[in-house]
Amino acid sequence: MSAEKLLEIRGLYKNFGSLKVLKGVSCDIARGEKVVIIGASGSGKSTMLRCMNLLENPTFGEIWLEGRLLTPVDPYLHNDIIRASRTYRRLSAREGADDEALIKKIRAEDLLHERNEGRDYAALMRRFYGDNYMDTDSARARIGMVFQHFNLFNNLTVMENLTLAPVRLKRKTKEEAEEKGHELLKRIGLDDKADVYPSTLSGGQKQRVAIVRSLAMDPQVILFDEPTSALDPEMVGEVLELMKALADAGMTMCVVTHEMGFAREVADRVLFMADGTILESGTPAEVFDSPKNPRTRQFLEAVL
Amino acid sequence: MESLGYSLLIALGAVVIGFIIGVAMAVIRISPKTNPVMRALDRFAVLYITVIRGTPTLVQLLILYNSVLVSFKSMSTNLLVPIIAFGINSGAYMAEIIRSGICSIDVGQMEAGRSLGLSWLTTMRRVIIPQAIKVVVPAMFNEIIILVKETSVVSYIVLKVGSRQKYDLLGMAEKQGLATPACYLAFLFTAAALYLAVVMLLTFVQHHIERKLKKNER
Repeated sequence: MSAEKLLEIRGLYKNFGSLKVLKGVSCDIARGEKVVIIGASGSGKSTMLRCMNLLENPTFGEIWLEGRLLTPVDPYLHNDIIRASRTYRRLSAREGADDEALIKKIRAEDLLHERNEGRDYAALMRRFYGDNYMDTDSARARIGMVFQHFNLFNNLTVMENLTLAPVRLKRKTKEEAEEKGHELLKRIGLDDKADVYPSTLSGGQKQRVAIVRSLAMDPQVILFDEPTSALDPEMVGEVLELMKALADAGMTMCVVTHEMGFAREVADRVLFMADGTILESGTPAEVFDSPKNPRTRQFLEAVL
Repeated sequence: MESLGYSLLIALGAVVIGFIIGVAMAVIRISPKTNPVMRALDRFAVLYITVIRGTPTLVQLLILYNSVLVSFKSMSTNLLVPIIAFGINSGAYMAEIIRSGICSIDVGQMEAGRSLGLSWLTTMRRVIIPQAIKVVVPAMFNEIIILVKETSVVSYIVLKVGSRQKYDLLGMAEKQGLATPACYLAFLFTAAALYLAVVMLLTFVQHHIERKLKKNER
């Protein structure tokens, strides 16, 4: 795993009961990269974003942040783990097929079951996990998230919203956090609102505060889940402006949005999702101007 | 007047115990059941709430008085018996009230807390419960009012303070009524009026708190 990749999603599946929402999604996000995910509702784009900071637990697949594993080990993604399994040895002795074909077969037919495997296999899984994992709360502290419905803490003032997590998680003292808080609020022109409660703010103001709340944790990457979809039209602009400013400052961002103008202007890479898979991936020019997949073309015609 | 004091003391103690039990049980009921310990605690909470809500307060008081709390009963001051009994009783109702409050808070609040790296418990304590408390103030006062009146059930047991027998509000009315049967009704009406006065005072406090909490948001 090269240091270049900040966030890595490998073979992600997510089922809600019998509903298969993600069907094997893989993608990397490099440090400083801005990735915009587009697609129709129900295509799995929000679910994928929510899996990235484990608000949803992936059914299969792995997520890596800065070379550390956030999810349990998915044995099918690691050939050496498959090779260490009893199933592999048994099939190899019986069928004697070559390595690659065996691995492919085990993966495709979901043949690894922890109960059937030996102690070596379990130890390997444990060792692999132990060597690589990052616990969920530390991961989330490094991954900012901005929600469609802002989700500011209603019982806390704007300033308390910004300082709660950094202070509770001992990233900063109360004084440092408040100093940083004022600095962030000045940046969005809302320093005079530091001591009011979120219910007095407009939608656009709430979302801008929510964005700087995630910044207060000095995240490595920020995930945006349809950040402008719940806003009145006249407030969309101010939020997009702030996001552009963040992008220009070099923040790594992953944005699920219906704002195609924003995607075209800011994205380094646009992903088009449909039916729980990434159908198309490329620069904004590639995806918007000459989409290869007919589904992409259809979608773009409908929204543009 | 002294008897009114005992009634209120018992109610106050029970509210405090009930509230602590209620918050704890509500949090246990609502928490994600990820490990066996939490599942066991949850089953205990369900059992507790079912049994307490399913049996009469008087029966609970008498059972506790005559068995579990028998060592408190024999102490020279046995006020702890009704306080604990009513506390345990009220805790079950408060647990459900607080749980309903927690459930009414948008899941986005918890998600926001978790997405910042805060633990489930920290988010619960700092964000969810303060908001839930606000929602449940009316239902909570309902429970407190019921509790104040229900303390009249202690007239079934012998209250002792410093080895001397004491009476709660209803107990005192009964005692006076036995002494002067002609005025029995008058004593009962006096007790009723005093309960009513306390409840009206509580209602006033409730409205005051509601107003204050509302102002906090603006």
